[in-house]
Amino acid sequence: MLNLDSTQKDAIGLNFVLKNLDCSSPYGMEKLKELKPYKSEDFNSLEECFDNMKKIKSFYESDKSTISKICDVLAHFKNIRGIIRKLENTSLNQVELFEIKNFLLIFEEFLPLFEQFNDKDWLKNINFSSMTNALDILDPNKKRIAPFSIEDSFSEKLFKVRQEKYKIELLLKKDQSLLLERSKIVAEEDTEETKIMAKLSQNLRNYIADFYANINNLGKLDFTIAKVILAAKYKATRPKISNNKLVLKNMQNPMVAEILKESGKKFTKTSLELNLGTTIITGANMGGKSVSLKTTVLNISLCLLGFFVFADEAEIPMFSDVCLVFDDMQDQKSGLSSFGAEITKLNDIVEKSKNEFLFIALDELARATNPQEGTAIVRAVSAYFSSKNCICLMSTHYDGVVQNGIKHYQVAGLLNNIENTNNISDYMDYSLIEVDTNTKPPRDALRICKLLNMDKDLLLLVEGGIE
Amino acid sequence: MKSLNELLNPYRTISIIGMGKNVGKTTTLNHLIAEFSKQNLRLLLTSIGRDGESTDVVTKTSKPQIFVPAGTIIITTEKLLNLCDITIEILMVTSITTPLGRVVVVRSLSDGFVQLGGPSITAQITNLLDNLKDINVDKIIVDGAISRKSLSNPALADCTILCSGAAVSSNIDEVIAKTQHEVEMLSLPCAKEVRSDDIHIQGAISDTKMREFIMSGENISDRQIIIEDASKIFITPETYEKLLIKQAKLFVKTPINLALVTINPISPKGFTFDLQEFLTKMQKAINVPVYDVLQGGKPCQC
Repeated sequence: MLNLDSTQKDAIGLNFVLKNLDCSSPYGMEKLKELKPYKSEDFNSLEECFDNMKKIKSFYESDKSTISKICDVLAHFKNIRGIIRKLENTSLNQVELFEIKNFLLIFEEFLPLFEQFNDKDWLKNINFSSMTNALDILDPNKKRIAPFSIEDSFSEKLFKVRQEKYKIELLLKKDQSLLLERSKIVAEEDTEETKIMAKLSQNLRNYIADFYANINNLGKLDFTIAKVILAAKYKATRPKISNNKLVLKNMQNPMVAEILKESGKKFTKTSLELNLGTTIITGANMGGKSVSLKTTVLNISLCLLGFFVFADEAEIPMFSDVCLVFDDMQDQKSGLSSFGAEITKLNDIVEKSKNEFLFIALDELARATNPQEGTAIVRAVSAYFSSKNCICLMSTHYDGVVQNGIKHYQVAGLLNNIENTNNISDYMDYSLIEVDTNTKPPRDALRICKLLNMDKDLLLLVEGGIE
Repeated sequence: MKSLNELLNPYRTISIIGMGKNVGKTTTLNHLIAEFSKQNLRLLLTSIGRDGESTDVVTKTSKPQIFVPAGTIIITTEKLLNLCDITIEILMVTSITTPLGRVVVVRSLSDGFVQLGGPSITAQITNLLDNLKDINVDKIIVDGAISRKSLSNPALADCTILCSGAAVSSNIDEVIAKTQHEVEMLSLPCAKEVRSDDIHIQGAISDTKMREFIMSGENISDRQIIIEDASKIFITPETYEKLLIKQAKLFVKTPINLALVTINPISPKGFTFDLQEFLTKMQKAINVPVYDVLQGGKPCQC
């Protein structure tokens, strides 16, 4: 699923979002497990998916109780996929037939509820076929109750055998010597039951395609509802699929927002508008460049996976993949320095970008090497991707790397007129402002030293060095 | 002395535990089933998971031992269901899994032999029985597998039956001594008062744990050692003796209701105790009613 490893999915908050997705049925869970990005040739199905979500979302906003009723019924379904697979070639046993019957009983309850909800047929490609005939095979007397037994009425022979069994059991209370006789009848009953189960299985086999189709659609519906409820919870919106332009207005990251909330802080929404080529974010330390970058990757990934995005407005092209390089310390375990690991990853991305339309996010590339060479690398990489068919977003705290033709955002940074503080983040404006190519990054490091009460003599030395 | 029926009349959930293999647990169970059926009581039967050593019964050749009347609710597992010869109505397939398949709830539509199986965790049985509240039954009998004392857990059963017999030892006095100790442990009372120097022990108390505790030199004389319940105690008579010498007193938070002890004088090794001697000695040693279920559940006449 996308060109992101598990650490990256954790870091950008994608795993957080997926964990918050609450599917009601095992079939919805299946869809989550099989989750994969839509490719550009799947444009129509992605739009269809968003159309369905939009319709369910507006329904959900006006009538939560119907949706929650549907979810309640969905939650009753057990996964019978394995049993249906078995049914293709073999007869089912009594426990399996019980489970099929229960699936069908819940389905009988589900279908009218769904039809009422979808009365104008406004959901695309989520539809169900009635399975009443299949249920009648297992419940010919239409009692429609959960318990299942091989009923006497299934065959005349069975009825007779059971009568005999009953008679002998009455006698058995007085005469234990009839046990052997009884065991013969029990064997006959078993043979007849096996025959009947084979017959029932054979009749059910005609409905295998319906079972699979309905199960698939139950999963689709459940998964779509779960995505809508998640979108409603975090006020996510439907992204517009664009050609080459990436717009994220007031985007946010639910995971970071949650962490901030725990310490009583609020997430600052940021906005970006990117064109083909490279865009660079510069800004002070602690300015949230990384968070903006990761939030961008998160929202693009969600869109490609068929989710609404966490932004007030979004336009997102159908990238063929999403790539991220940031210092996650992971590769150092395999013996590479963080610089070495970055370059290895970068090589892969360069190779990939030759054939694919990528979104590339590079967080503080070459931060771990010396500023002189580091600056040269950042300049070169930004220039390289600016002429390629991709959108590349880089963050850096190096000076003077933004060259002509490259879009430049800067973190608004530290507010003016701040008293001494131990909590810099309270005075940091994380918003992104589009600036000229030549705009120098703010010199906030010295201010931060002062605000954090650096020793006076040491501060003097620092100031001397800067001059 | 009361008859078995009178004695068990007030209790809805009854658990049966044994001192070991072949002490007549199934005989006791069958006896209860027969007695309750005579009164037209609706029964629910289950057991706590099967121990590894019992899996050898899961062959087509072995004969199930438990005979139930039509209408009985049985909790067992998918694979053991194949060994039941009753006509089955499936009521529920649970998500609890065991090595013998998922736990299922069925109703017997005919008389017949069944194999019981069930969850191996006490909390799972408690939850399952709670989920089955709507099924109308008068008595629930939980059959304990070998050495599953956790079954006497008071959260699960209203009363407990302990089965003992000649299979425990070839020496009748040893059988009685062991049973006496077990009864003493199962009958530990609740502490009457809370004291500031009470010693609380969480979880199981084993012999090793208790010995370490005694050797640690902590002053335990005249103090109350409080355990969750008797199902957590796994100490030998010798260790218990040491505690008593140190004048420590064992208590439980939740007492178990040990209703009766049944005895089986026949050992599978081929010898048999004299029934009357066994009954008399046992009843003298313990102050819980002793019944001989092999002879039709007669109480001790001493």
